[in-house]
Amino acid sequence: MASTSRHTAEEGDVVLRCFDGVKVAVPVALARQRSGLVAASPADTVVHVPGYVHGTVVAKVVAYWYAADKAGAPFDAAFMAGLKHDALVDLIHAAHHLGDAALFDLFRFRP
Amino acid sequence: MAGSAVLRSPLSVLLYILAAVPATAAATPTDAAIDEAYAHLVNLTANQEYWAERAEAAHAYNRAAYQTDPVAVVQRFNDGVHRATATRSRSLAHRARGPCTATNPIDQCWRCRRDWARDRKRLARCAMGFGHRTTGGLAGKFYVVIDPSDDAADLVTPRKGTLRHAVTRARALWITFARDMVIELCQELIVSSDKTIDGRGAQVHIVGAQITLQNVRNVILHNLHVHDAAAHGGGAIRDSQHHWGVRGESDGDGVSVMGSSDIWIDHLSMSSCADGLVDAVDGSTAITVSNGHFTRHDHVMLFGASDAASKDREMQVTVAFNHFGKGLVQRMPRCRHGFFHVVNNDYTHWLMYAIGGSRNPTIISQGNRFRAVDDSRFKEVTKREYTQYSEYKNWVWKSQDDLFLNGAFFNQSGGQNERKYDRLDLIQAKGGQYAESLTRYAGALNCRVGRKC
Repeated sequence: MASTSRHTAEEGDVVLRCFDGVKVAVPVALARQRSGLVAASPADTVVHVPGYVHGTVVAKVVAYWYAADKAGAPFDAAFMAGLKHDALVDLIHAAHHLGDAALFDLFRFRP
Repeated sequence: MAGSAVLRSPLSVLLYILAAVPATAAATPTDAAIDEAYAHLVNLTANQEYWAERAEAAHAYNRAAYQTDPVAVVQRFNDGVHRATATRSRSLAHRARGPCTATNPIDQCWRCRRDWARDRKRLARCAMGFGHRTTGGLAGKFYVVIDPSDDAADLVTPRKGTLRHAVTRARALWITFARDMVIELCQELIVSSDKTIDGRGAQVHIVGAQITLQNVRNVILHNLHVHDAAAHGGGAIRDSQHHWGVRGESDGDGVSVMGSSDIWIDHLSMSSCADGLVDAVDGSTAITVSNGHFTRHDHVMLFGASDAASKDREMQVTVAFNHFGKGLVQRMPRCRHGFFHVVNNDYTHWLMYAIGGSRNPTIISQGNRFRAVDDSRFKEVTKREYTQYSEYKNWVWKSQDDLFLNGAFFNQSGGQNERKYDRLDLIQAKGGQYAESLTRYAGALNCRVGRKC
């Protein structure tokens, strides 16, 4: 199984496991704060991501979590501006299945 | 567990080899016999490891295929039925009824087209319900089966042109048949991923042993006669292009689905098998069984083999447009865990019961027609196996818009569906009175090239 973890899973980490075998380790506090899927099962250290979300997309979402944790609204705007259409669709799909309401809301149309 | 690798104790295997050596004075086992025993052990061990790896990979896909909002799938299905039948009603007002009548949305997708044989793969767009993502061999080439044989000598290296060769290839394939044929399997037929077995244009009978889908995904079985499958003792059988191994005893189901997802079983005529007609176990999910014709059998459909198998909580199955006919006894289906949408089927005959379960399945029965037999003991559609009311009262078994004839009744239980929705959001099933027309062309069809099917 390939792994794109930023680091090996440690004591305080939750492992997000995707259908294609990719495992992404995330600090439990960050994961619980951002992801409704992780928050819904606090006892689990391995959480399976439903809905055919590819591991590479989950890794991108986690990278965004790290970056957005420090930056703020200006980072979100720059992040959105840099996305191509396919990446946008993948991220919306991933945000939905990970239960990340904040990331999902970024993609809402605002007049 | 059916199909699992058999690992006998090393000592018993060695003793077997020793017993087989001819008895002579002061004889010792030969090097050849020892080598053979060792090779056998190594193969068995490697075989077990191979299946464990396949099971783990398949389970990942099964989890991915799980629908977190199954009620949405139910509604999408019902909406499809309404759109299809409404269109037909409008078209009837404008043109004469022709010889081809496709009465449900799955059939309307492909049947009433003269060019169905030139556009066979259109079928891959027609799946509905929980198996709706199934495309089978859409991405692959056609493989025409020309040879109906299946010999014991060819189990490990199947002969080119046979069905066993076709289903064990690694790449996606859309498998068709050159002519009418009876394929008498001598052992279970193990199908690999991304296959369509398309029996249109020929009368294909698969008899003698079960069709096994084990730890695979994306398989369509279409327009086949499957009957008189028997249990077999197993042995060395090829299960994919790059692996063969020793198999244990097979159950003798018609179709056995184990640990697989995105499966669509459509227009099969099935009867008289040794165990179930369609069994789905070991966490299988994203399955649709549609347009089937089932007769002369006891245990028809089993979903979930063991009360202890919590993997089966992920099971999600649509059973639609099927005809459950003469000589059936029970399990149409029997469910253990998971979510089951039983919709627009025609139950004309059951003894014991039609729909059963034993471990808190969610069963949504919509738009079916249930005609009970005359015997007053068999009027109830449902059966909770080995369970008292105090336990099953919270199981969600719902009957909506079903039609009950000859005194049939459905014993409902449980509260409302988890999701709350407004009346405008709820898409009702097509009523049970339409079940007869929706299932009129259930079973294997006699399609001819160049004519509407």
